[in-house]
Amino acid sequence: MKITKKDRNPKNREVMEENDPPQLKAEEKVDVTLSNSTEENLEKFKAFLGDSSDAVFREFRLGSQGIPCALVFIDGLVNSDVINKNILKSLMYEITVLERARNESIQVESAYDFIKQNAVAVGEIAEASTLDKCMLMVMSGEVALIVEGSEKILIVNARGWPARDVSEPVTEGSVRGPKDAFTETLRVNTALLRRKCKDPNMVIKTIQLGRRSKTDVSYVYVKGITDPGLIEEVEKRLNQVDVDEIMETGQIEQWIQDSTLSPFPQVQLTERPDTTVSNLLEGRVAILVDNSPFAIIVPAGLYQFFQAPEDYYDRWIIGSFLRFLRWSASLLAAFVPALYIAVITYHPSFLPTPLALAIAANRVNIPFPAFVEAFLMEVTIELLRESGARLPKAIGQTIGIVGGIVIGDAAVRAGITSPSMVLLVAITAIASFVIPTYSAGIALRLIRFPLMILAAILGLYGVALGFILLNIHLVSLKSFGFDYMTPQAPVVPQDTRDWILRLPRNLLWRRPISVHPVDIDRMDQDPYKENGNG
Amino acid sequence: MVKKHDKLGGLQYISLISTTILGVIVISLPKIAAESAQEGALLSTFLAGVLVAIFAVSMNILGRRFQKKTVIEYLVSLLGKPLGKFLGVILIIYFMFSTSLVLRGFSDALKGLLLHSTPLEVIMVSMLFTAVYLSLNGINAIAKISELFLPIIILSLILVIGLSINSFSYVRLRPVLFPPLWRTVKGMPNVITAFLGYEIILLIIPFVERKKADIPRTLIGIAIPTVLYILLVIMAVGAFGLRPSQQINYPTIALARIINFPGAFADRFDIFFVILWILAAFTSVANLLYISSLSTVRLFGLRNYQTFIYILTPIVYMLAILPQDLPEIRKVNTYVGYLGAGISMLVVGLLIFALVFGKKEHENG
Repeated sequence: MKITKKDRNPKNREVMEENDPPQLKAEEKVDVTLSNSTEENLEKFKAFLGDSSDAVFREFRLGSQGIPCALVFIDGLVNSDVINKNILKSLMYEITVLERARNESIQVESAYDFIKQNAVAVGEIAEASTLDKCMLMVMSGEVALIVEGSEKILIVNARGWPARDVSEPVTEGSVRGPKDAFTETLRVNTALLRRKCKDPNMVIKTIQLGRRSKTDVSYVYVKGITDPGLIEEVEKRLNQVDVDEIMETGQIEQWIQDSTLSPFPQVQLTERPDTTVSNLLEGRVAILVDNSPFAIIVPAGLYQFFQAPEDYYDRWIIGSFLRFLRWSASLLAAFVPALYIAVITYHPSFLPTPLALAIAANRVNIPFPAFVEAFLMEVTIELLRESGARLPKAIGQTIGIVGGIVIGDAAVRAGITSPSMVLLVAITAIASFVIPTYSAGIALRLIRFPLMILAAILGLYGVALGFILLNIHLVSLKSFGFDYMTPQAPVVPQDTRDWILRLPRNLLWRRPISVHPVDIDRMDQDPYKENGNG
Repeated sequence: MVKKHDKLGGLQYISLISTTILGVIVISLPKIAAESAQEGALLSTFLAGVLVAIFAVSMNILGRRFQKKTVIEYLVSLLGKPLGKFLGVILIIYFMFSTSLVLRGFSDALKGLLLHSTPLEVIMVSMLFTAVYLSLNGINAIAKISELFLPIIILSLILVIGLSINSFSYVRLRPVLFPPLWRTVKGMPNVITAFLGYEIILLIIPFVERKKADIPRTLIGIAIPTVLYILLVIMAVGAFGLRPSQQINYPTIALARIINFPGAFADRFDIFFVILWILAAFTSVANLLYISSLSTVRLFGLRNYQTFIYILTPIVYMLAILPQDLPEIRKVNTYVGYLGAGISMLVVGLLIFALVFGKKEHENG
């Protein structure tokens, strides 16, 4: 079936799905209804899976009557122990023992119900009455049990595939706090969340997205805290996702974000279950995607990208200090190169005379204007970072050394750049890595370049204009109806307690009210009120 | 739940008023006050603030009688169509001239202070472009930017005032402590031009949450610039003396220049202050540009103000670039000042008119 533009419209898609199950589109002629003959049903499976070498069709006969049955599953996605011991063994051997003990033989008509009730020793089973539903289950790693005489197929859960163990977070390491991170298996990830929060109000809903990949996408929220309007909005936006494949939460992010014309992340991405749970308890919604070790948290404000879990685990003075450090670092990372260019090019008198003289002496032999010098060095360090990011560790060290020498010494000796510029580039690079969220850090590094251009054209006035433009962009951003610059603009006094400073826990007795939680208080009593009464 | 426009909060209302007033003139206010009111500099600044507060409160009360209407619409319902529309046009002309004056004043000052060899046009166009970008984002973005920049502006001024306290001398301040009344009154029209922009109240009340646009908040919005202006005059006169304050072009910048603290990364605090002053100037230009286009749209009874920003911007630019030299700018400034005073008087008159005869309109509005 050809996918026309009209079908891309989500409204039309819903209608289409009802009439024409997407995964069977390639073979329109196949009848999706099932018959009561094992052989015929098996043929229908084989029409799709017959060419694949990992599909297993295991035919066998059941009981003394020799009722034809078959198992269909994908090798590698299932746990063969479960199939051998809990399904095949009980169906082929134990059932005959049962027949003998009861002194009756199973008839074709009642075989299906009998098996369902007595013979499959597996916790989770389901029934499928159409081929497409059944096929989807098989492709997700379940076992289809076809029994003669029934138009339904029994789906037995025997999932078991090679998966990475829960390991330490790579991009969000912490000194203090739990060290587990999400893995690629959705079920493991939801289990990690449940382990952290035993509230039965935490709802994990799952839908399937991706025309062909049929990826499980779960969204998690806490009933009674999360704003129902927000949940509705998340559902609405998730249902608009219409792509062939979903490999990563990043793809979902790009579909559901508010503004595509912004370098700034509008959802929070995390691989830490503890961060996810505490955000859920603040009234946000988390989105998990099967095969991705990252969770998306919406809505997100700028201030969230400066938070690290340790802020809450350490004492508040330390947490506040670190927060303050990160905010300052972000300003440094974005503005220092531009300020340098502006001051050197237009306003050298801004600096104290000895410093201005020292920089001037450094720059005597440099053939380039400050902008070119800064631009060269910034590009070099971006190249180093990018090449280091994907290299194996052994080679990565080499790049580190080469980079250290190139940037630190050779560039200066070759007369391409001045030592003060090297210092500056190093400081900005370090500062840009202080920000705990990778995607926010990269956005800050990116806006450095337009700011540098503005500084080169208009000096400090250009930097000021850049600052204004950046702020205009930030205040006009929204994330799921949540103002991006909250609690700064608009000012939400209550929420500023957990912003640049992280005040003591007993003062954070309310959830962030800018997220509009249904249940605002997270502590029993307002400590102020208590003090006031006492 | 994803709303396009939220109603503005109380703090946003305050900051919109304060940031529109605090603008280009911050750097030359002590000179204006000292020049025009002589020994009455301090008192006239204070009295100007009080007078502006009275006007602002009148505008606030009048505006709140017509909850969903801006001045352009309620002028028509108060005075009838021909007269109301005519006054609306005058108001728009006033806003546009104000925008261009602020823009020109900013560009001239910045050229003198920071970018000596950059063409005036480049400064103007870049500033105007930034203001257009903000205006296109609507009243919510403008309010948020005001809210964001107001603390920075206040803090920078407090820093300048606080750090130059070393140079302050009570002896130099003494002449302005005992002001002659006539001089004070004579200087007031000029000093009031420093408060240009508070007319924004006429237009933003419909966008503010019903109970948040009250009189105390209006007074705070006026009090913030008034207090800062008074402190600036005290500091400048106290540091330089009254006569020198009249001679120095930008006394506030001069104050920043004499700041000296050891171990600082910046030798000249004044440049640092100029950068922050750009923010103050920007909020004035952007807010005024926005209310110009908003009032134009309302005059024609249309909804989409964005197109009018594109139409107004070249006109504002032309108005700003036309005056050849400082005397011409001064002349325009004076006329605009008179116009502003006239409008404010008119509002007070209208308020009395509305209070006496306007019961019906109130119910309708």
